[in-house]
This record gives sequence, structure tokens and C-alpha cells, in this order.
Amino acid sequence: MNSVLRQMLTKTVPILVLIVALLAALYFLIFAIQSSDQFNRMYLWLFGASIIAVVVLVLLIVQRIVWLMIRRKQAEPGIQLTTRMVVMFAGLSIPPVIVVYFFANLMVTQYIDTWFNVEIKSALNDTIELGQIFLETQTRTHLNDGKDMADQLANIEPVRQTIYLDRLLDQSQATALSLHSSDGQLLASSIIDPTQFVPMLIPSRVLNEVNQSRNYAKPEPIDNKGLQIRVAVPIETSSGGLQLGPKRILQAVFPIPSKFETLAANIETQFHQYNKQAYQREQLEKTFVIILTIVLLISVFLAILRAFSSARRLVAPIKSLSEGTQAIAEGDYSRIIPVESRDELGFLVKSFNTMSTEIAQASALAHRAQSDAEGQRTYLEKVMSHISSGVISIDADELIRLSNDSTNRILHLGKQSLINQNIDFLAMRNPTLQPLVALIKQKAKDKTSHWQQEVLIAEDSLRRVLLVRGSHISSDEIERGAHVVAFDDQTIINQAQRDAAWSEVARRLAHEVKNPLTPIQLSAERMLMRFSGKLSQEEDEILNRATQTIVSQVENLKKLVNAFSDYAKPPELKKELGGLNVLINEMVDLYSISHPGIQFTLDLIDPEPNLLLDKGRMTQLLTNLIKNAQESVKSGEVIINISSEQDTRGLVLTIKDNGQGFQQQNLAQVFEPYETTKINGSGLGLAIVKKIIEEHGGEITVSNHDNGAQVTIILPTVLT
Amino acid sequence: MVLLFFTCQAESATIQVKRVMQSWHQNVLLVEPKYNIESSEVIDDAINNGIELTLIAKLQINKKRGFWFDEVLSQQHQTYQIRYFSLSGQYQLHDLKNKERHSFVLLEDLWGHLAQKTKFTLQQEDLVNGDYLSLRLKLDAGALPSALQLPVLLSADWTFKSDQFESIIETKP
Repeated sequence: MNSVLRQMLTKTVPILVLIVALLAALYFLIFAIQSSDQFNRMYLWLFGASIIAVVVLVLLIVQRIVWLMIRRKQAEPGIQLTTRMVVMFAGLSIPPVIVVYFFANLMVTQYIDTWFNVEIKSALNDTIELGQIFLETQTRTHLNDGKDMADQLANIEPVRQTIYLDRLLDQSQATALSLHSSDGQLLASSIIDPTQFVPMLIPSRVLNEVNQSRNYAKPEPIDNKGLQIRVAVPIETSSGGLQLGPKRILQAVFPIPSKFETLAANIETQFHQYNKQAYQREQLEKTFVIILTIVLLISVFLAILRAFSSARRLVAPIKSLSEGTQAIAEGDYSRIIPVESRDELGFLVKSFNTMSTEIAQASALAHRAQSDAEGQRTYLEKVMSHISSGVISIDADELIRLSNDSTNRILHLGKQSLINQNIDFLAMRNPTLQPLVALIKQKAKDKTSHWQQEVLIAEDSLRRVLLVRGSHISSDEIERGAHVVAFDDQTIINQAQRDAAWSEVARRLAHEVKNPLTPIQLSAERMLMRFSGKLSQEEDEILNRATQTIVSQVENLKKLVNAFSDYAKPPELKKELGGLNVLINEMVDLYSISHPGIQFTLDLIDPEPNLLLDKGRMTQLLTNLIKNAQESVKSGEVIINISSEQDTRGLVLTIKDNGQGFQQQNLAQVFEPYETTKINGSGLGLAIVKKIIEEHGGEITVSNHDNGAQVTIILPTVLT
Repeated sequence: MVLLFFTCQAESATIQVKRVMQSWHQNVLLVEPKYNIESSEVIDDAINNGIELTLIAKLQINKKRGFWFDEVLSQQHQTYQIRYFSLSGQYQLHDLKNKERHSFVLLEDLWGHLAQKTKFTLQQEDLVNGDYLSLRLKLDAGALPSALQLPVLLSADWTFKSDQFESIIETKP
């Protein structure tokens, strides 16, 4: 609404006012040129209409100049060309108009000057002066005639003066005689032509003159017909005469000779015309200059306005083309420019539209193909992200082109993207992956079609086994070929298989070994009872020592077998909600009493989080760990530090001792059954500990600190 | 500068309506405005150079309207032409309505005559709805030669017109 109103006020209304003003000027001009009187009457209206047209044109041009400046500031497409064309059109149209204006001005001025030359003016002045001299002569003559007549009347009785007046008229050249009282009242009159009778009145100015004892004689115009000489003289009574009543006045009107009258009228008319023109000379020149200037301004302003209009119309398709090109550059191929002309520009616009349509179609196809590819890629990425195995593919330059989330998870590489990284980047990020990287590079180099191999990755206390499978993709299938590798962490599977095997071994060992132990022990004790005291002292001592050895060794074997039996026993957990602190304190109290040499340092979290625990199995776990710690100290005071804390993973329990610590080369195998460095150790202590932790869903790691071993256990907490 | 201003003011032409006399003669109201007319040197010069001046005396009978221009019920005008005859050296006042001509040796006499001359006769029926009458005497610039019209329009010396004089219409006795 606002834009419509603005357009009406800034464009439509001024143009309408301009058209109305120009039409009005034309209308007044048509009427004005019909006659000079009409021209005089219409002149101001014509001038006013022209001034309005000029003002409206100025406003329109100023508005367009402002528009041009704003657009230039905004760097609108095509505005430079519009400016250039406006300047060019205006430059082409203005000079000829200005030249014509100056020449016309000069010619008009010079032409008007030629109307007034000194000779004509002098001749006319002389003629007027001559006429005035003649009139004066005539006036003076008729004044004398008037005086003579007044003298004659003075000697006549007033009563007869009226009759005598007719005689005087006949004798004189006057056309009318009249007698008036001193107050101007008509007393008598005589006129040559009675058909044209008009009362002979005496003008007040004449009466005043005569009443002041002065004679009056002056030529005067008769309506519009010519001149006459009016004479008025007082009738003075002679010294001997009889003065009857107030003073009387004789008025006589004398005609001018007809020949002179015609000539005088012509001279006066021409003199008036000349004087009038001479008086208007300067104004006339100014008027012509003003008219020419208005015509010039209207012409120039119309030309400039037309220049704006033409420039905009010519530049419009170029501007549209520029905008269209920019739109295509920005990826908008839908821009269709309207074809508004059938000339070369129209053809250009048409060609542009065809080109943009074709580009749009090609772009749509490309976009669809790209969209399909993106879809496929997204689909592949989704599938890959859901594969539990790690998958990577490398190109001929050993750059990783494909990798899924499982790769980062299995290879412990964090969340950094591996795409477009060299395969060596894996080893740089995690040096323990060097064997894997070397294997992949070797296989890729050899272009091995299908292969499978286990790779051992040793990370501090963790030994992981990766099952790696690979396949080469030839350059026939993918440009320059590629190598795809998939791998799984087999550690847990292997561990489970190993645990199962060990359990089976332990169960069979316990079953096979435990059964004969009791008969062996009983047989040895029976032999001792049967033959004790019946042999010589020396033989009796031998028997006694041998049976004691057998019994003690059988006891040892029983312990060993019970340990294996515990390891192999399937979990029958009785988990309860509770905490570790009570169990730890009980165990520490028990050991403090039975082993006074052990110094415990406790730093337990309080209140502790809730845990789901099998208290019996946990007591066994703590016993094994404290026993291990105690046994690791060969000499001196045993210091065992037990601490607990909570973090995001759960409850973290740490047990440190001041013993010899784990041997670095055995760190990876400490949880393996039958792995022990102790002379009488079964090698099942830490294996059972690990098994209990796993039964509770926790994790266990071992390491060395500055002065001994450290076992760290993480147990999941329970939210209540 | 101030002196020049006052000089210019003194020389400028003026027409003032001194008074308006109204008198009833049976059913006719005779309106006789009396003016004070003083021409400027520029105007005198123009007349002496043969330029004919046309003066228009105009009378309107108006009816008041609340929030709009007053309604003009009727109007009359009298046109006078002033012309100089160089051969006889006299000025002529031509009443175009009455076809009367009067000659004057001095221009002042002509103005004096004109100041007393204008008369308007109004019929009683024309005054029935009228509230007041207004009149003025002014130079008809459109009757001047075209070359003079613009200067006349713009020059103070050529401002030769009276203000609009308004007067209550006298009721019939």
C-alpha cells in the first residue's frame, strides 16, 4: 500500500501535472495566437502554465538524479551504464538547443532594435511638433475670432444677444456658439447642424478659467473622431454700455480643417504606436528572452527526462541479464527474464533464458545424482556405524578413505576423524598399533586378495588380540584400487575360551587328584600305626618321617585341589545391596589380630555408594589381595594402604603395598591361571580375584607405584 | 536604505476607497464609492508614452456562509480606459459602459474625476438575500500589452488597486 502510494506521489502525480500543464499551455497558446488582444489576455495564463511545467520538470529531474545517486551508492547492477547513457543523451540533446537559443535570442534582440531608429523617432517628433504649431496657430486665430464675437456681443443688449448669435455663427467658422452665465448655465446656443443637436455644456475647467478673467482656447479630442478647438471668452461690456445682470461667457467650438484632421489623426496614431513600442522595447526584449528561455528549459528538461526514461528502458534488459547472471552464479537457475522487445537485446534475453533453463536441467540432474550419492554414502555410513567390527579402507596412496566408529573404539583412538589420514596416523596416535599398521601396509602393498590374521596388541597391563581380515579391491572396480580391512577385538572371546578351558582343567584335576588323596593319607597313617614301635629305633624314625611327609604333602595337594575346585566352581552369587567398608574393616581387624606385623592405612569414602555384592565372594577377594600384599613383602614391616573413592565409572577401590611389585614382563599375564612368582603359590589367587570382579560387572587393573604394587578395582554403583 | 524604502513607498500608486455612499431611490439602491487615487511615476510615464490603462470598478453582493467562501449573489462592473493624446496634450477618460469621454489637461484632474465618478445601481430584488456588498477599483493587467504584463505583475510601482471594501447593505427606509 505504501509503495503504491509512494509511486503515485513520486511518479504518477508529477507526470500527470506535467501533462496537464503542457496541455494547458498548448490550449492557451492556441487561443492566444488568434489575435493580439487574445494573446494579451492569455499571456499570463500561458506563462503560468509554462512555469508550472518547468517546475514539475525540474522536480522530476531532481527526483531522478537523486534516484540515480542512491542506486549508484547501492551499486545496483546496470546503474553505471544508465548514468553514462543519461549523460550521453543529455549531452547530445542540450548543445543544439542551447545554440538555437542563443542565436534566436540574438536575432530577436537585434530585430527589435531595428524597429527603433533615431530617424523615425525624430521625424515623428517633428511631425507632432508641426501639428502642435499648426493647432496653436489655429487656436490663436479662433481665439481672436472668439474675442471679436464677444466684443460684438458686448455692444448688443442681452435680450438680443440670442438672436445675434445665429448671425455670428453664420459669419464665423465656428460649428457651435453658446452663451453661458458666469455659473455655467446655458443661456443661448446656435449650432450649424441642428440634426446633431447636443446641449452645449461648458466644462467646469473652462468655466474656472474664464471666471478668473482668462480666455480659454484649446484643441481637444472629439470622442474618437478627431479634434476640435474650444474657445471661451467673457463678454465684457464696453465702458459706455449698460451692464445688465451677471457676466456672460461666449463659448465657441471650431472644427479643424478636415484635411488636417485626417493627417493629424494618422500622425497621432503612428506616434502613439511608436511611443508605445519604444516604451515597451526593454520589456519586449525581456519578454522574448523569457519566452525563449522557458521554451529552452522545457525542451532541455524534456530531453533530460526522456534521456532518463530511454536509458532506463535500454538498460533494463541488461540489468535483468546482470541480475540473472548473478543469480546463476549464486546457484539460482530458476530466474527467467521477461522478453520485452524483439530487437537484438530481446534475442539476447531469449538466449539467456534458454541457457539458464538448460543449466537448470543439467544442474537438477547433477543435483539428483549428487543427492543419490549422498544418500548412498549416508546409508553406508549408518550401516558402517552399526557394525561392531572396525572397518577401514585405504587407497593406493595409503590414505584412509573410509572408517567407522568401531574402528576408533577398538583401536582406542578417541573420536578423531581418520578420513583422509595416512594409515601411519593410527600408529602415531597409538604406538601399540604399529604391528597392525605394518600388517595392513604389507597386505595392501602385496595386493593380497583375501587374508585373515590375529594381531597381538600389548598395552601396559592389557594384552589384546585383534582378528584382522582384509581384501584387495582391484583398480577395475575402483579407480586406482583400494584395500578394505575389518577387525574385531578377540580378547574377551579368547579370555572366555581360556577361562572355560582352565575351569575344565581345574574341575578334572580336582576330581582326578582329590579322590586318591584320602586313601593315600589313610594308608600312610595306618602304616604308621601298624609298624610304629615294631621296628628298630632308626627304622621307626624313618617310618615316622616318611608318613609325616606323605600326610603333609597330601594336605598340600588337598589345598591345591580345593583352590582349583573353587576356580572351576560355576558362580552361584547371592548379591545383596550394601557397601564394602564393613567388609574391609572386618578383614583389617581380623588380620591386625592374627598378623600384628601388618600396618593398614585406610582412606575409605564415607558415606559410600550402594553396591550389589556377594559378601562371601568379596571377602574371598579381599583375603586374596591382602594375602598377596603381605606375601610380596620379603622383609621388614608390611604396609598396606586401602582407599576408595567414587567417580563416573563407579566405586574405585585401590590397594597398595610396599612389596616388590609386579615384574614388568608379567604384567600382561598376572590374571592368567597358574601364573605365579611365589614358590608355593597355586597361580590362582589373582585369577579368582579377576573372576569375582567380572562376576560383579567390574574391572580390575594392576600396576606398580613408586614403592610396590597397586591393584585398582572399579565396581558399578547402584542408584536407590 | 530606509529612505529609499520610504521614497519607493511614497512614489507607489495607491487606490483607496474613502467611503461608500448608499441612497435609496424608490426600489433602486444607488451606491457611490468615493476613492482616493494616486498614480505612480511609472504609471504616468506609461500613459504619457501611449499605453492605454484599463481600470475596472467591481461591486459584488455577497451572502455569508459559515465555513466556506461567501456566496456571490450578483456582481456589476464598470470599465474605464485612460488614454493620452499627444497632439492636443490631453488625457481622456473613456467610460465603456456609458460611452462617455472626458478630456483633461492634467492627469490629476482625470484621477480626481474618476474618484467621484463610479456609481452602481442595484435593484431591490437583487439585494433580498444579500448580507453585504464589496467593491474595489483595480488596474486590469490583462488589458495591458503582453510585454508589460509580467513587470506589472512583479513590480510594486504597478500595484494599482484598492483593497476589497466591504459594507453592510443599507435597508430601505
